[in-house]
Amino acid sequence: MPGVVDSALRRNVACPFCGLGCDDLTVAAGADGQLAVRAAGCDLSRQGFERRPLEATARIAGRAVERREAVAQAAAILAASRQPLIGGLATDVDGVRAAVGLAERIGGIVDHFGTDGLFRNLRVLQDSGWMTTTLGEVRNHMDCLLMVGPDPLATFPRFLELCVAPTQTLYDDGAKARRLFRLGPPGTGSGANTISELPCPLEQLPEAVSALRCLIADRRLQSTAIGGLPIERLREAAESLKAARYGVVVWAAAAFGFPGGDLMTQSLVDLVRDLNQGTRAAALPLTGSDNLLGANQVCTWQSGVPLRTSFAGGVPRHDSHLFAASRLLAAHEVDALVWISSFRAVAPPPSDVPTIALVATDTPFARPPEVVLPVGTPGVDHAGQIFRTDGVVAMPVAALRDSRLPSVADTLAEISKALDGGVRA
Amino acid sequence: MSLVKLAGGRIVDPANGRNSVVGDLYIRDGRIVEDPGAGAKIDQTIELNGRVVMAGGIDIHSHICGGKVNLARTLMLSDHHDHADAATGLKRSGGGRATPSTFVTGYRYAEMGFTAAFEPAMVASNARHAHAELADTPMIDKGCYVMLGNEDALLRMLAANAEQAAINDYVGWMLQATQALAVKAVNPGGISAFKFNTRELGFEAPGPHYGVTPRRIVAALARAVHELGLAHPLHLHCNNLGVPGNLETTLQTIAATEGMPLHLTHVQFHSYGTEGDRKFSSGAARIAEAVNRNPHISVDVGQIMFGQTITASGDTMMQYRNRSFARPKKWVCMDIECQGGCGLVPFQYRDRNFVNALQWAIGLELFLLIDDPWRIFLTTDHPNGAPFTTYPHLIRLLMDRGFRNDMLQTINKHAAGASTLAGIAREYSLYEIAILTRAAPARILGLRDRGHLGSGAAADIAVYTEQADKEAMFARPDYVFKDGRLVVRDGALVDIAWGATHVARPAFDRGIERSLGDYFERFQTIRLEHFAVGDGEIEDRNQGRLVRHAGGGAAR
Repeated sequence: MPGVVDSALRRNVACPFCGLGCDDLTVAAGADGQLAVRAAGCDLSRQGFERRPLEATARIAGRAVERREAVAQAAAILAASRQPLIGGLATDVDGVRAAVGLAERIGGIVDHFGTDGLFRNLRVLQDSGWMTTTLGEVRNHMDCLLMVGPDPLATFPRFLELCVAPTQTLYDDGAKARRLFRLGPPGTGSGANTISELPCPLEQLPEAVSALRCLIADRRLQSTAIGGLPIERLREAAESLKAARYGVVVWAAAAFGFPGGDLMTQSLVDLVRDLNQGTRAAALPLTGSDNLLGANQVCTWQSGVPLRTSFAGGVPRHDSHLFAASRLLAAHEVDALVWISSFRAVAPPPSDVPTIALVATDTPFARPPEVVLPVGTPGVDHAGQIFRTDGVVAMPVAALRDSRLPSVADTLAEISKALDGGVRA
Repeated sequence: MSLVKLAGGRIVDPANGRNSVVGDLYIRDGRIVEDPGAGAKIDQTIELNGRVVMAGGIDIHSHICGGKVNLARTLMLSDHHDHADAATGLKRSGGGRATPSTFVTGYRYAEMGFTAAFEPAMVASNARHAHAELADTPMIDKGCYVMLGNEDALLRMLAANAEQAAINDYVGWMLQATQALAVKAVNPGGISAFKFNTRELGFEAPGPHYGVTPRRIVAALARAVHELGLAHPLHLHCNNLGVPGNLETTLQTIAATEGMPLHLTHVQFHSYGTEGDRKFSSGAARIAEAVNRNPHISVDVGQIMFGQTITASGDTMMQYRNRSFARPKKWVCMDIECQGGCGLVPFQYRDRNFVNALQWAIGLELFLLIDDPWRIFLTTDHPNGAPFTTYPHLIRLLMDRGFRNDMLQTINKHAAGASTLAGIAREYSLYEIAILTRAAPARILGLRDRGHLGSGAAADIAVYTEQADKEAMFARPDYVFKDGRLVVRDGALVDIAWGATHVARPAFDRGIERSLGDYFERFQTIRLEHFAVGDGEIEDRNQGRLVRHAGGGAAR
């Protein structure tokens, strides 16, 4: 841990680095702006808060320039573009507001780098709806948990502490009596001995979940095992969920990267509905890192439709396949890219598309982008709002240090202003 | 600042008792001012030539923002693609008819001459989100009612027989923390009960775990709202929404108020009997009679209109129960933070369907049988009964008996036969419409400078050309002013304005924060300091402005 003098100790700090939105951290700030997590941290929050505050140098094609030069160059690229893409989109609510506004103005397309997982959930929501719950309900109400897929604790480190094994719950019989299962690939389990592991290879999860639905519906099954997992083990989970008063099914759709991944989500959504015919149960999709849900919320309320939306025709047009950033870049269907990653160093996907990078200061690039505009991190360098995994709670995050790094919203406003000035292509 | 004269309008201003008085209005600095006298320099005169002048419309119950609305938009993709709005130099793009995007919501209201709308079902935990959407909603003044009455914090206080003073402090704190203007209770106790797998909860039934009855919750909240001095009484969505026979629950609720002011919302959905072959009948006459007899009760109707929409409600218990009616066949239920919930069920109200047709008739019966226009409000419970853009059509149904009876001929014959609508002669006057949509909403929300055209009022003004076809008249104002700025000309947007957010700030003992802070830390997944929405979060965006209404009965 960096040697920070705890002269300025901030308590109850809200963390923007995953979708859980923990807000009980203690963070120390040194005079040089270096931060250190002193309490209630996790690997992700330490990585995020303790990133060194580097030089905020704007660049054009790798060359250090004045920020206003870089802004003018960014505007020139966008003015010359016929089909721009605003991708990455990892920023706070105000940053997304500005990005959607800019996309509308330049006839661009918006997408976030986390939408592969998002749309495995969203397509199911759009087609069939679902029954879901929030972190606070899980923490207090849940008496049986089924996690499906690889261990979510790598990407949501404090999920167990926050929601699954709290020291106290509103309903005092809660935490101790909980039955906990994880159905997923072996060897990725959290190791917590309170969780019954139901090992099953990733690609056979859809089969296992279908079997679970049959067992819940008291249907007979021919097979005796799925991917080596005995049906009797699944039956134990099925019986527990049926006997539970408030069962919760958790998954991180980002991990369902196999063909038919959204059918997997559909099965889980249907399983939850089946359970509700007799008792109560709800789903909790774990997602929302890099303010993915916030980006989708803002896009939805401003345009009426989710991410992966094009403003090329003047009206918002959503298509989750056609307007996926990865596909557009691979197919050379865009001629400019605004890449936004303000929470952590995520480089744009390799492409030869002219790129304007609004990124955290230590982002490594495969090739120098045409324009780099370093930006601050919400919750570190400036205040902002970040949506949690449940999509309900928007967490306010604070500025923890004096920073010269502007926000994404301010930077996009500068570019927009430069466009007003009539930048010549 | 410049002085604008609206010359020779026919002023319909019930709050000031002016019924079609031909006269002039003067606007300066966004306000209506007294006639400045003969010597004053008038910068602009707009000749109205006898056109009808009203205050801007105010919608007291319209689901326009927050988590459930964004979920509704997500379920209604084709509503947005089929009704898309292009960006212009002036307007942002967007779309949607049943669930318009935020900018389009503002534009559509202004284009009808409405200058304020209030979101009536904000989940406390979702307050920051709700206000973030309102920050992107132009053209109108706005505000939210926070949903209480199903959250663990209150139910546990009631179960422990907490003193009313403590409940008042809690409600006062919640209003401030969520930046709300009023308090709403939705299926009191029922949303909580559903989380314990209770599927139905009567008004006198003790709910699971807490053993608290809806009656008790309503009484405590209605009293808290009253004693805190809020202008708007408890805004109540009764138990048993949509259930045949629920008029008894509604009557029970009215009887239980014992004189305490209460607003019953979308009462159409709570006025159903069980008579007839289909065990579904109109309870409008009995509800109207009870409302007429109880001057402390007010209602809004929640009129349905035929066509595609989506129901968006905090009432998970009833939305789950109604899931089989979903068209298209998809629905959402969400339990939220040991506080509340939300449920989305898309609906197609069909004029040939007996139940839908009778719902339509019941709403109109209520409008026509409730005598006092100051205690009944024009709503469709947007989007639950219909999109708010159907208001001009609804106004015509109220003002034009011939049109109403023509429409009645087109609906399901058994429903038409089961309704008394054909025999009701009443037609609303322009003056009464101005009460329903302007004067009374401002009064019941405590917006003292809105909803009227007296000197000192905000210059929120709508000018219409009187026409025999009242739908055409109200769909296309000639002029709309928002805070003195001309924003609509001939039904089309000509400028953008940003309205204020209205919040209630009653006095309460802040000592409650100690126990609440501890409660949040031990049980919730967010700390109290982050739960509360700061003033700056509203004021720092899109010309955001807060109008703080003190309690203490100032608006009474």
